[in-house]
Amino acid sequence: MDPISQLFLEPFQYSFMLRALIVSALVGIMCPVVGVYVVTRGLGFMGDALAHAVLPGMVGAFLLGLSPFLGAIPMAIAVALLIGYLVRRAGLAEDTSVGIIFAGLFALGLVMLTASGGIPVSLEDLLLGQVLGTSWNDVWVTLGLAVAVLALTLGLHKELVFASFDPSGASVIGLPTDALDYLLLGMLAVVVVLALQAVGVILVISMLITPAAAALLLVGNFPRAMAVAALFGVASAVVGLYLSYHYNLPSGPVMALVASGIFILAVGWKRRPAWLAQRRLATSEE
Amino acid sequence: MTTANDNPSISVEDVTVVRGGVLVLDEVSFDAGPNSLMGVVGPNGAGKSTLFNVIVSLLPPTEGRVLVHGQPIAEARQLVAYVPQHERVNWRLPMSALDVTLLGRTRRVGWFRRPGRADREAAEEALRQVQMWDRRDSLVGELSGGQRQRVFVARALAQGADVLLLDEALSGVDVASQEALLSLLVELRDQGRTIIMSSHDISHMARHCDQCLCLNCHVCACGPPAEVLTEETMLELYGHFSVLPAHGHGRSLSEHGHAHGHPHGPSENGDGHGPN
Repeated sequence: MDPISQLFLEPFQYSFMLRALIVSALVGIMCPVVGVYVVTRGLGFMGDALAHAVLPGMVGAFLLGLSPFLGAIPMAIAVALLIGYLVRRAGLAEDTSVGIIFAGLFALGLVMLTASGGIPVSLEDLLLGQVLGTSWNDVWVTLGLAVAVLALTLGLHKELVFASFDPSGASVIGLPTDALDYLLLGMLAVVVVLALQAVGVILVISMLITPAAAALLLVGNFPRAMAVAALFGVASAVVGLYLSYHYNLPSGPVMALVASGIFILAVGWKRRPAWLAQRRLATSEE
Repeated sequence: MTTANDNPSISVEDVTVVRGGVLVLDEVSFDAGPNSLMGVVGPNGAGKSTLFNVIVSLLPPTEGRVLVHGQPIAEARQLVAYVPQHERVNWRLPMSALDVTLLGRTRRVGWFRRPGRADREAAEEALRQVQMWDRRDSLVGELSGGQRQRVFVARALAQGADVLLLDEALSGVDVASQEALLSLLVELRDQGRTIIMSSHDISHMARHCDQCLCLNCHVCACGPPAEVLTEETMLELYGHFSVLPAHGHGRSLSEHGHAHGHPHGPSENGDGHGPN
């Protein structure tokens, strides 16, 4: 095997690396696709909170010997809808509602983890992600949910965009804006839980908002920003996975670092010196 | 109080709104027919936005009802369009003028489908009519206040609405663009549409509207500006008449509006350029 092939193919003699690659790439697509809504609608704190708030659900599922998805996904959807409801009905400010629920549930999860005397997963893996530990079952669940989320975001694109851009105008023409908001929160919940495998509780936010923010800096068109964000997301996840394999580093933090690096490059490109931008313009006009 | 009209596009019938124990609108009734440009004037807190929200069914009235061409609004949504107040729109979404105009086709296109050629043609025609076709690829967040309003009017046209509501139509629109926007609204009125707009700028209302609804919780007056924009009405609305464009005591405002035409009210200060 030549060195280049070895660099790219060697990791996949291990099937756990293949599973990790599939899950990372799917997370890298889904997070930024929902992430462009998160960034433009200011839902970043909400996404971060969801990742923390599902901890009791995950610990509970482990204790019962179930897949952590079975605890985390219903929990995340319930928490997202509860926060959405509180913001609408209880008159609490959004960050206050989110903060109360997020801190309370995360604390509950930590207490459950300690009081239960141990589960087969370390706290560090929960917090930082352990994509190398995914099973084929996790891969299929991730794939199925990724297809569902992508189908909904693409199929309901114009309705979701309308409700995000001009909610009152969308209501006037009869779109169910509340239902669309809850749907978006539900998809956010699903995506956050799937991303936990790759980057863990603490770093979910990096996959959710960093590639999307970088794409929105560069592209002034919502569907194109979504595509570019997905590209950045996949690049972060896959490059991060390779780097973590070859340099024996934890995968979640390396993926988050690559995403941050892409964001810094995007800022640099956006603020590139005038002479560089002009030269490129001159070249393209020739 | 009610304008005589045989075939009104919009009938507001005894609309009362009570919110949090406070009477916001008190038995408001009026009709607006085709080919009419109605201005709603009144002080802050007079219930103008509440009235608009009731008309477009964002807010159910405590009592009373709104009919569009004789039908409840739920059955005539396609016919009514709403140009939102600036602060109700999320300008962070990267939307071009064409994207925004195409949103007007959302219900016609239907769920899980993408706009087709007919929708693009309707959007193009609408953008051409508001003279924004050349700026179709510009992000609306980067347009001036007046251009944004024109794009939202294009969205209403693409929707096929014949009743347009513009809440605080002139706020954030610079003085030069106000005239262009108002001429557009007059043009749309002359094509048979019903336009209802609110603004703080009474002199513009006096010059361009053919009906004025003076609102302060209840309808103080409704009719042609020359008849209703009087010192007495201003006194009832604002508690003083310094809002009049010229200090002609005892005469109607519109007589002065033509001669002087200085824009008054908060809207003249809005620079209207770019997002915040």
